[in-house]
Amino acid sequence: MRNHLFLLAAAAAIALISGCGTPPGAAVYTNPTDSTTAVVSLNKINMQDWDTASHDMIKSLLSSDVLSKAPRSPAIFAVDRIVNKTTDANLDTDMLTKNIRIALNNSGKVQTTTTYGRNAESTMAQDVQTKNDFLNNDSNHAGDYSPDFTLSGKIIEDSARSGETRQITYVFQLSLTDTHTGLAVWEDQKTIQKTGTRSQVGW
Amino acid sequence: MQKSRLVLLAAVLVTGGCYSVNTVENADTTAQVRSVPDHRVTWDQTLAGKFQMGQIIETEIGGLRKIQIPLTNNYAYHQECVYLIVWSDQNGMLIDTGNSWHRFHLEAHESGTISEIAPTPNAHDFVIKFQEPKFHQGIF
Repeated sequence: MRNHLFLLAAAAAIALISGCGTPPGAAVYTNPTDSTTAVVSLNKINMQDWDTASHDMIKSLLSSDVLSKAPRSPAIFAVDRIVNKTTDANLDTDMLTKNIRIALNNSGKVQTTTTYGRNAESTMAQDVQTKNDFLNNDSNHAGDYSPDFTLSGKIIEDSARSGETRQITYVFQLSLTDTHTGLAVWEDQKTIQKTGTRSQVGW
Repeated sequence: MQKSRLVLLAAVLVTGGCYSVNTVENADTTAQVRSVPDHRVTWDQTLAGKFQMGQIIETEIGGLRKIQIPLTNNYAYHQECVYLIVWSDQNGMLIDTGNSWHRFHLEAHESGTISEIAPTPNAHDFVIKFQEPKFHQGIF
């Protein structure tokens, strides 16, 4: 009798615990700000890598205080070419530059222009701007929209293998150019390296 | 039995000190530091024992508050933690910058610093959270 009661209690406990828990193989939501539990890939830049690189670049840029030396406040900022030198042809460099733009905008030191250049981010706003300048007969107004600073850079990938250990390194290089002088007033480089070991046959 | 214990202790002492970091610096530091009085809450005593936190110092760069926290690894092998900084404005309201947890690594007995700069000129106060890193899933 006692054994039966014990088995019944154990079965009830197992049912209760398993009922409250996540079924095996089920997908769950995770905290996107908690990069420590994120999956680490050795064949691509993960979200946490973009976050780490942009976070460190923002810290470096704001700490340099070069943006305070602009001829106007807030300065006008534009993102130029970020060259992709990785094996991922579909890499979207906005993953890096968008974080930087948001942080710089929040700092109050710059405002990003989305209507400058041939590949303007907002072609509709660019058209409105052009039309208004034409209607106001103010072709010189274009100078007001010219960026004071441009951001350019490169993302480089390097991989290495030793036995079953694979290492992949991403180097993020950025430069901030003062358009009035043509000089790079800020430059920085961030390296993210990931290493993993795999023992499965065929790798 | 006594000899084997001594051999084991010697092995631990030797290997434990192999990767420690030695340092040399100027004895008469001339930096003018601005300390920040802090209030600490410790739930994870193990983490607190691993990383000794020094005095927070601050400065201002372009109207933005910059802080620096010195940490020392008290252990004889490399240690890692994660940290998250949260800023609030002069009204005590949280400034949501979408900040994430970041990894911080120190070698055996190494001292290092965490530095952070405020996201806006309105950022007045801060809370820095520390935690043990969790398990990473790796894929190839």
